[in-house]
Amino acid sequence: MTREEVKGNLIRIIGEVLPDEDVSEIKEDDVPFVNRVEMDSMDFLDIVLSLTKEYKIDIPDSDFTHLRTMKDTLDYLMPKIS
Amino acid sequence: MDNVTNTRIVITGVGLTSPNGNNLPEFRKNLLEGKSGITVFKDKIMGEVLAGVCDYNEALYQSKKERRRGTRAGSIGIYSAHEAIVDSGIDLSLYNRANIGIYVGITEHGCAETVVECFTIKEFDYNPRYVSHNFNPKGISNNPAGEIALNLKITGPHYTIGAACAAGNIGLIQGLQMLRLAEVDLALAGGVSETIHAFPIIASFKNSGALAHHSDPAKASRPFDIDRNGIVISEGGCMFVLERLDDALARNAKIYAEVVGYGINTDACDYVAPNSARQAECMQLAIYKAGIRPQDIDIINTHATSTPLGDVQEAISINSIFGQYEDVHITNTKSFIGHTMGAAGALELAGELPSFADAMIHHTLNLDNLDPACKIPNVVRDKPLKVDNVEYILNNAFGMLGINSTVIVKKYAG
Repeated sequence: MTREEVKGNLIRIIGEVLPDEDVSEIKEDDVPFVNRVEMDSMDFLDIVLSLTKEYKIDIPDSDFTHLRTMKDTLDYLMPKIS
Repeated sequence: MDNVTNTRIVITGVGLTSPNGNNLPEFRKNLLEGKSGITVFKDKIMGEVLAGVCDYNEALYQSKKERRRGTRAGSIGIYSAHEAIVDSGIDLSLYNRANIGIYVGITEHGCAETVVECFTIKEFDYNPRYVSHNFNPKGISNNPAGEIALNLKITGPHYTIGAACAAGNIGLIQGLQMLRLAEVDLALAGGVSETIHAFPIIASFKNSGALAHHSDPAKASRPFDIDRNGIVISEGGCMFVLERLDDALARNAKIYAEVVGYGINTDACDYVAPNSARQAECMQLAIYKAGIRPQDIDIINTHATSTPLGDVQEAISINSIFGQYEDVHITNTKSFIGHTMGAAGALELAGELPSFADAMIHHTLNLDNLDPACKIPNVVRDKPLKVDNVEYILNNAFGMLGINSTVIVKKYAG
């Protein structure tokens, strides 16, 4: 699965968790998700859970700091997925 | 204590969603026109079952995120509470929201949410790692009331009242009591149900031979009829705005009715089977508190759920008190909408309230042949009945583990 495909899936998941938000502006950069969309801690956990289901991977709590931005998240996910 | 018990409490707003109407005028119209709300509902496990399903506009008062985070019962409660407030004409910005209470009757809560999680983790070999962190706030028993509080930013007390299928009445009673105790200045009180989404409950009724079946969904719920064969489970909700009479008069509110009597008691004899003697005592208690006589009642909305055994018990209890009074008219709402469980007491009472204004009594649908074992007097059947005046309405709601409730409301005439 390419980085671009994973990015697309991640944007879809964020859109499902935050259905009232415009997720089209989320780009692969260092801007935290919470600066782009209104997201609380429960939303974040929803996104993590969706990722674990989607890719059958484990994301321990200690790794949550790697999921702040789109770039961070893709850097973290790609080795696990491949 | 007299000052407390004498404080007069009135209904000044009604919000509801039922299988045959999403507001009181629509609900009432369909009751008078004999329109059933029962349909075929497809459940993932049970397949096709007969049920009452609501089709209110969820987006009216909730964001998409609220709907995703919340439950069906919460959504029904939010819709009903908003509609009740709109109907009451109250401007919430004029109230201290810490002095508003939310009291929601439920038969059960959390079963539907548990089912969803079980389906989810089944895909992952039942690994509990995949249980949603949202399960607890969704499945916890105060959820429907708490979602209303969150949505309306009400900071007074909120809780649900678990009282089986008597809960809708008891939610109303709780609101009345809290107003009388001056714990709150405004009460949002009633009941909700999402039980059609909980297959174990449907299966449990079916496996005990208590689930209705009929080739025509509209004819499946038929209380007191000789051919009845069980309950039709439905979702629904009804929330009332309750106020102290003085407060309602001060703001020149529309007053639907005054709540003048209630009774709650317990059979204490069986997990499921009802007891006609205790039901009769419950109605007598409500009549006593209302300070009236049995013959003063104009309409009895029966609890009867269309089960072979349960309907007989209520018929016996009603006969024991009202059998000799030909002006006490009996009707049933579940024949139209099925059993809305925790909502039933409140929702069915709401459907009767317009009788104070139009003096019409809706009929009991599908009562083609009255069961000789249910020899209730003056049951309204075949078509609505026009009477000279309706002064008092008595509303029964009974539930498992022998919980009984009766509410009596009176026409408000100033």
